[in-house]
Amino acid sequence: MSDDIILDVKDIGLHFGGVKAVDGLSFSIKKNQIHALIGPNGSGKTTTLNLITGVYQPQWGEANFDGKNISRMPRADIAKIGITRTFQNLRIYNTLTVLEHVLVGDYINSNTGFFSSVFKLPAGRLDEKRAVSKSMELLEKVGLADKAHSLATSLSYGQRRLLEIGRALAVKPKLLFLDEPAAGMSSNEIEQLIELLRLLKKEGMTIMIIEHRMKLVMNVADWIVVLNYGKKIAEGTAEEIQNHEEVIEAYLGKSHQKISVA
Amino acid sequence: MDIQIVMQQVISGLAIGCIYGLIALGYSLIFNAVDVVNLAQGSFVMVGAFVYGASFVRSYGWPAFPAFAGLIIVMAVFGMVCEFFFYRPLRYAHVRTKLVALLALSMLLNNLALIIWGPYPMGLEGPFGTKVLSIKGATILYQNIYIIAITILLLILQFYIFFHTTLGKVLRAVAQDKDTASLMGIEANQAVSFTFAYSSILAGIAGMLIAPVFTIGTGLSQLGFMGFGACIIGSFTNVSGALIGGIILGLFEMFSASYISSLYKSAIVYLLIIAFLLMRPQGLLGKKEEVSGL
Amino acid sequence: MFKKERNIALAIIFLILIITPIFDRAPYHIFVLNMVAINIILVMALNFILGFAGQVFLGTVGFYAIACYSTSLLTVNYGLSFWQAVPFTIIVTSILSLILGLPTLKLKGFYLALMSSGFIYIVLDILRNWKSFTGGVWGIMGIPRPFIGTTLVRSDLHFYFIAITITLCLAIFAVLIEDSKFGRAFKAVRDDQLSSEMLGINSHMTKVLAFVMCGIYTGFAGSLFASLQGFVSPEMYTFELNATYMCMLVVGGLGSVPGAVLGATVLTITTELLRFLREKYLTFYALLIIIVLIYMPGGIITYVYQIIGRLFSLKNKPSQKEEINVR
Ligand SMILES: Nc1ncnc2c1ncn2[C@@H]1O[C@H](COP(=O)(O)OP(=O)(O)OP(=O)(O)O)[C@@H](O)[C@H]1O
Ligand SMILES: [Mg+2]
Repeated sequence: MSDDIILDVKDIGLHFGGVKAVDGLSFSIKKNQIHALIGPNGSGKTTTLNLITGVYQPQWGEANFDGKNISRMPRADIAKIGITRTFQNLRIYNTLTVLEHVLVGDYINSNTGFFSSVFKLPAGRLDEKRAVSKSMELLEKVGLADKAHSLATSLSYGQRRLLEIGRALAVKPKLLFLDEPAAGMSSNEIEQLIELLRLLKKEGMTIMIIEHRMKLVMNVADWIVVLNYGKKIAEGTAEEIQNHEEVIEAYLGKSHQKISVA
Repeated sequence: MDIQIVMQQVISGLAIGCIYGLIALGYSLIFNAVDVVNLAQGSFVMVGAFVYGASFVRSYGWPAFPAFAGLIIVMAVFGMVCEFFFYRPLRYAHVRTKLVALLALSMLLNNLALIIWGPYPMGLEGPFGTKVLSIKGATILYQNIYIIAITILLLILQFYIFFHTTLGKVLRAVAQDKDTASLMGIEANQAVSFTFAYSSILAGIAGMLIAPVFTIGTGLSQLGFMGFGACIIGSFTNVSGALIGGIILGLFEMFSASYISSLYKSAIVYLLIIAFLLMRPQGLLGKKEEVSGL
Repeated sequence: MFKKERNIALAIIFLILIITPIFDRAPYHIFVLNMVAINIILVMALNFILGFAGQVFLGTVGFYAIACYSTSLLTVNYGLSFWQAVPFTIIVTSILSLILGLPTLKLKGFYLALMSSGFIYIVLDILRNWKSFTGGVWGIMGIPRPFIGTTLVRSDLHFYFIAITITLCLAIFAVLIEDSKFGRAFKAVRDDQLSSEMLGINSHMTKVLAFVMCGIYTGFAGSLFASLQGFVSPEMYTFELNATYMCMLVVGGLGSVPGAVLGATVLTITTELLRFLREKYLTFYALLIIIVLIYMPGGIITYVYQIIGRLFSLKNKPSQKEEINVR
């Protein structure tokens, strides 16, 4: 049972002045499952993700990945041991093409040296070929292969979200965080996203998705963690969460959003 | 070493340090308002020295007080003009673009100064000339006491302006939080313009004070670097940090020049600043997360 | 994105630079061409750190001075030949970039700008005051020209062919780096440092690499200049000169190798034409930087790309449509 756990967050916390963004939060993520982190606006979801991925240092508590404490690890090392993410407020590169974005994601998987890569020596050329074909594969997967050579800034909002996922997948993460991936997506793109999530799970990936759309969450998540005011108020399967008193209250009280699968 | 000489050195170090602190204060005001270090601040100091020393006092023969009042007005307008033409068009640009633009502004000012005031450095007699005060054998320039006194007065004035006037409210609001500032009904542009004006006044006063110590020339813009140094040692975000950093730097410069080497004074100061960057990049009074690279 | 346009632009500019001496061999013009070649290298150096990695560096002139003096001292005092001195000069400037870059590039963007802005004063202090080593204000004389085989390259014209060959090789090298995974990493860190770190890119070391490249290129430029001129002295290096190189890069096109080449070429020649203004030309350059930053942030190279794109009809239609759709 416990060797299934890939990430274990223990009593983690961060306050911004008086704002208790994350306030002693504990949860764990199991291998090869899709988790969802939900909660009203401002409940601390993004901050939690920022604490795990090293964007912020927790003021207390720690996160263990594969039994290793990753809090206070340099950001780049966290990606190297297998955790990566996308961003709620998109962060794409203004001057790079779609394909180049995915190639940047592949950067840490390529180990050719400086000269070999710059002068396109056989090893470097081979590696570049591998990187490009793998990146094209990933673009195919997220449905952006036909846009490979356009600037990413020419993509629509939803497409940019898919591109961020493709870029993150190129890292070959063991654990992938998606921060509101469906925001700004058309219903078609959301369908595509759901397909993609299922496919990734089938391939053995572990995912945690932060999302507002209950339909999507209830549809794909095996396990849901609910936050409010930086604290966990509930966790369980979709069914359990839908009938959870406190969750319904948090949502109704805050944003008058009804939880329904419909 | 003689106690008298050490005392003289402490006073001169303090005086120079106060001026560095004033320059640093100008940086930290603008930095806190717009997250950009004003690379042209050193040139602002130079402009202040030229306007006060070369034009008002030497050319027009104005007495100290009217010249001082004139300097304040000119520097305020000058700061606003610089903000309007060189900062505002780029306010949405990336920080590095702003930095390059401010560097260009600094070059522009230095070269305009060469054209307007000529290439030859000018001396300026301070209000106390070279009169000295003798205490138990130590001779102390009145000039240095005057610099320290003016700095203290300015700090008290700044404290008053910051916490008891509307202008102060604006400046603080901008420095702390741009969003709140706009909620308070303060036009962000106007507030940034005020900030530039205020920090330009500080630079002008620093220029006025330093003119009798050095000579008036474009070389004064190099003092900008000492202001950075003061911020790195003290803090970019903390007002008292900037002043303390300035004083440490001033004392260190004075003593290293006397006891290590005066020829390599700036190299030694540079090493000190690098050492601070390596050991405590946030400065003595800063917070760590303010400096980490993003 | 504009790879083809870039390569064509580079080919055209270098072709023009290489064949110019066939038509015009006035000694002064050849000297200017030599300066063009050297300035291209310097501006490409600045392009690595400012253009590719997006870090404001104001120490070009300080690095350049040290590179010139290294070659001078190595050849005059230690009897090395020009070609032997070049690699050592490059080692010196790379180490320098590590010393300055390692502590500052870890911090917010402006720290490198600040620390490098003071750098030139230190260098000048040392050059002027360490008389026994640097010759003080008189500088160093008698720096040898390079040998090719057993012949000494005496004429400026022949020197130019060496200089432009090195410059061309360095331009190609810069383009190869830009197209490699390292070039992508530079731009990724420049465009969005946080998301690059989330992908496992060590932004600190990436910037340091770009900075070391800057140091290496400056080393080449310094060696060539010392040997071309035959003497070095401290007053050649002023903080103001920085603005000239900055202007060349900004006007040519930040982050573009042909932009750097074009900017250096055009502005080196303009500087010569504006000699009669003495230092006052810097006023125009300073204004030019600001105007270009505000009104055409991509520099003149963007227009060159457009013209080349049209002449060679490179743009494939669909991607054009896409761009229109977004607006
Ligand atoms: N850098 C910051 N400085 C100050 N306060 C912050 C910062 N980041 C987040 N907060 C505050 O922390 C709280 C939690 O924010 P967070 O972004 O984690 O919420 P969230 O659950 O992701 O919300 P949303 O659904 O809107 O994305 C909010 O009150 C927010 O204002
Ligand atoms: Mg969020």
